Amino acid sequence: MLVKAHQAEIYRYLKFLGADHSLAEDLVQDTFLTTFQTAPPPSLSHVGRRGAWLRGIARHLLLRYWERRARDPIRPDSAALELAESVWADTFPGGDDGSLMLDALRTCLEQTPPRGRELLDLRYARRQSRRQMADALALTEDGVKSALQRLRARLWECVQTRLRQEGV
Amino acid sequence: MDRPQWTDRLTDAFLLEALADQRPPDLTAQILVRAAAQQRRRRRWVPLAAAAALVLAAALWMAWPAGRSPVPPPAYPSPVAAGDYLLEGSGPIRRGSTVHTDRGEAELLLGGYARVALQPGSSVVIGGRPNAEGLVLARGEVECDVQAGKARLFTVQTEWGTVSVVGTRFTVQLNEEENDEMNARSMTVKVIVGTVMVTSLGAAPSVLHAGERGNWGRRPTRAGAGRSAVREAKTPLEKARAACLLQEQALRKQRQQIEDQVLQLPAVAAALTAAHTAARAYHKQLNDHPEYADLKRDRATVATEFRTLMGTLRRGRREDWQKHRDQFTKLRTRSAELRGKMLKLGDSVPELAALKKKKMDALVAFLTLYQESLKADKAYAESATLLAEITEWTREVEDQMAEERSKARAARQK
Repeated sequence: MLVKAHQAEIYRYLKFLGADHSLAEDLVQDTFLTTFQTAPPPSLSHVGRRGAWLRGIARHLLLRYWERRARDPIRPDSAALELAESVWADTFPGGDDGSLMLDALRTCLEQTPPRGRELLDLRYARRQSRRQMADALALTEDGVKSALQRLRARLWECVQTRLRQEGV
Repeated sequence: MDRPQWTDRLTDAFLLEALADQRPPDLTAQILVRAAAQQRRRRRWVPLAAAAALVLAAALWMAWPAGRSPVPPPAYPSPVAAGDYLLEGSGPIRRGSTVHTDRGEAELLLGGYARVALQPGSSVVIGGRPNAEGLVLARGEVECDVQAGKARLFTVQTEWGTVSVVGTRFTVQLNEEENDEMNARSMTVKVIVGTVMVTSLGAAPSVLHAGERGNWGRRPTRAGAGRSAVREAKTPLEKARAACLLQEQALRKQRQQIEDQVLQLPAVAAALTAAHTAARAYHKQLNDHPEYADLKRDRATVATEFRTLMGTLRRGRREDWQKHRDQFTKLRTRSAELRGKMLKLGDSVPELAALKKKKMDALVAFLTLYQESLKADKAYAESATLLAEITEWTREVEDQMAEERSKARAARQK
């Protein structure tokens, strides 16, 4: 039940922290295998607290993985990951695994103006580089960068508003 | 990174999921299998299956929302992999996936009844269909443990032929010659428990029993084990071992006679003929298929190019290897692709697929009848017990011999 209820949340969390797909898959498995070997703290009846406990394990495993691969580009340190955890915990206070946020985001995407939507499609659906997007939309690369940042900030606001309206 | 940057990254991650459809994968099966593997440690297959089944059943029961019927109808199990393996492509492991092992070993669980242990340096493509699981062995060695069940088939395909079983344990090994990793020179099938049938292109189907092995390809079949041991036995231990081997041979011969008699039974003989006919019809049609002929010709061309390259590399220096590495990899990949296409053709062309199904059904019918007839023979069952005992004695004697050899070596060193 623990696996079913929390695997999507832990996968999304690891990707948010910077893991790629295959690393996130491996670490999700390792996280739950670790929990099977350790007795959970007694105060974990609430789904949100269980999530925080699992995220702590996942974060620890990710840091250990990065430490072992010290030659990789600079990764966030434990302090930066603590800050990331507080952003996550504030965004999903009720123990949502991200599904509610995803639904809200889809609704907000429908309300995005066509040009913005086109930019988002090029970046996320077609995985184009900044150079390709700039060529396609007759913008500079910096222009693409700031347009994307503005769009994301607007979508974030929209999502927060929707979640508040729905009482999440 | 500061807080707004993390917020931006969070939006970025969710946008990828929403627009690029990068949904979190369902890893329940992998986690449960790894958990079961952790629990059993070095135990063998049966406890693993039981543990995995129990944990899976418990998880399904617990995950089922209250208020509905207590147990959901069991879905057909998806392929599960554990251990040190590489999966070609993205997404979860499924039918059609290619699994490689490099230096480590891995385990596959197919259809919930076939466990496949991949030895290091092996490549397999998961094939088959529900209740007729199978795989294509492109490289290396697999040990398969198939639980007996009603009309549940398992097959291993290689370029040398197809090994079909109903319930048994066996290994299939592709032997490669040094400096020629591209072409498997032969296939060795070794049966540990039960019976398997090997249908090979251009040869009559063969049946192998427990303790037997067969080679297909360019290596001769090993025969007459134990004869040299009898001739050369000098010490009491060597004589004891030779006596055990002789008894073992005699028992195997007796079992072979019973097996031959069972094969002569009208119903079994008819089923075997039907299996042969169906297998021959399929392989003939496959060989006659123009696409198969094209693939065969392409593969021969690639093999010639590869041999030429290997000749150059053998004569050359280390720098030549660096220079030709890409070409080497390209040819190997191309050859594996062609081999995969040749093996998959039987499933992709409707008329071939129908013939293949007919062949498989005929094989299942024959093997089931054959195994049931053997089970009904009392002498055959008794000989199995005796054979197991003698094999154990042989092992004991061989252990003692090894101990004496090491003692003698230690004495010489002193």
